[in-house]
Amino acid sequence: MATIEDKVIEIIARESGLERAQISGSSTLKDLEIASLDFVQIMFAIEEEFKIYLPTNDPRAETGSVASLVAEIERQIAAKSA
Amino acid sequence: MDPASRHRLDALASRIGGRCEGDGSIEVDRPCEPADAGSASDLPLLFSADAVSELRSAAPRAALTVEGLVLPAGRFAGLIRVARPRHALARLLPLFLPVRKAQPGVHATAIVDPSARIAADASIGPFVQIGADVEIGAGCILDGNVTIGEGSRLGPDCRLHAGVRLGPGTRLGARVILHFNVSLGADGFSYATPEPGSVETLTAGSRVQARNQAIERIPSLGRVAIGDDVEIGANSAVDRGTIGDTLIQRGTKIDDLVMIGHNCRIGEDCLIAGQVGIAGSCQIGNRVVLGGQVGIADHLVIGDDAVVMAASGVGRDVAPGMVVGGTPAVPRHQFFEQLLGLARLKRMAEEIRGLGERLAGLERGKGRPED
Repeated sequence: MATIEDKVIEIIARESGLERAQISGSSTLKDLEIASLDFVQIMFAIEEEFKIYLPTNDPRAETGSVASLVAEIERQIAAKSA
Repeated sequence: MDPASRHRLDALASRIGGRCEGDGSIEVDRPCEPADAGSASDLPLLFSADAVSELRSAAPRAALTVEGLVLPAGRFAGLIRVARPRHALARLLPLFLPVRKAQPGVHATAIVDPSARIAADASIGPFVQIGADVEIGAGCILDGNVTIGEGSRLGPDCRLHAGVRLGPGTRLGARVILHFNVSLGADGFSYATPEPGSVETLTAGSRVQARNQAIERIPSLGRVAIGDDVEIGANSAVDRGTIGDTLIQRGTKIDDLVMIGHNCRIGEDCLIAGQVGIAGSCQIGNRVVLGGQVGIADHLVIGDDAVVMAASGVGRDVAPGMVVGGTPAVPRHQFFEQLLGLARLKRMAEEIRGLGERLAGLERGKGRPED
């Protein structure tokens, strides 16, 4: 089964047009030079995929890594099933 | 090929701030897209792995590329590597511009007022009209069908492409470039009514309170003044001031089809993209960037270094250094929250309906007498 990180990388690749191999856990959306509107679309696609709401008032969101995004998704999934 | 545009690789590298690898003595005469490269003296621009894959010919011996990009080993005998490709292009491409041989002097079909003072080496093209008391500086080139209103002053080395119109009293600094059909110094969009009009009397609610009657025009006595090294794109218009001048200061670059209203003051080194519209009396700071199709309402102040995202509608002042987007424009992170909020609405509505159904179920259960 695909891990959360796999799914997040797949969404980033699909929305940004990058190759999956270019994206890893330590990549930040800023390093990947993702355009600002693609960033919004990535956030939305992740929310839809995992049925969560990501915090949007965090100015670090764009500079945070894929791994920190995965950690936030895991935290919210765990909180829902608790 | 003009020998002036043949360059040794090592000499080119140093002129564009790049680093030469391999054989620096290779001579190149044409920078080109990778797919177009076909001769030994072509210089394909390879700024990405995709660009490398577009190369078709093995003929080019040298390439311009970016630091860190891996190229097939042994493919090129010489390379120039640069850190900032677009900046390198700004340095590189002028070296390959065809040399324009403007004929000094005034074309026989030009109509020049006898009181105009035109530098001896300036070039005035066919069907140009030059009004009274105009001054045209050294090295200026005016292509065909340019109109220069009376009392205008052009600094040295200005380049006015065909169809440019300058209203009376326009001031151009040095090295100003005006592309086809630029219009500087048309009257401002400036009118008044004797009684308060529909917009002035807007209060609460959505009904107009007054009618606009007897609209009177306010003439424009001011001028347009353009600083050194400003460039304005085709079909852009800058209106003259009502009493003072509409100003565009040194180094600002303006794209095609931009409208700048009367009495605006645009700072230094701004970048203003296509189809921007700036209403009257705005003050735009230094180094401001306005994306394509940005609209700015009248009398606003946009602070130094601000960036307005494309297609935004600015309805209030923007503080220095802010990035704003949307209509009405808000700080960028807030704009993104709005976009995300809009995208979330469908799921949120479904969730609220689900909650409502569950709540109704709970309340029905609560109201039932216990067994």
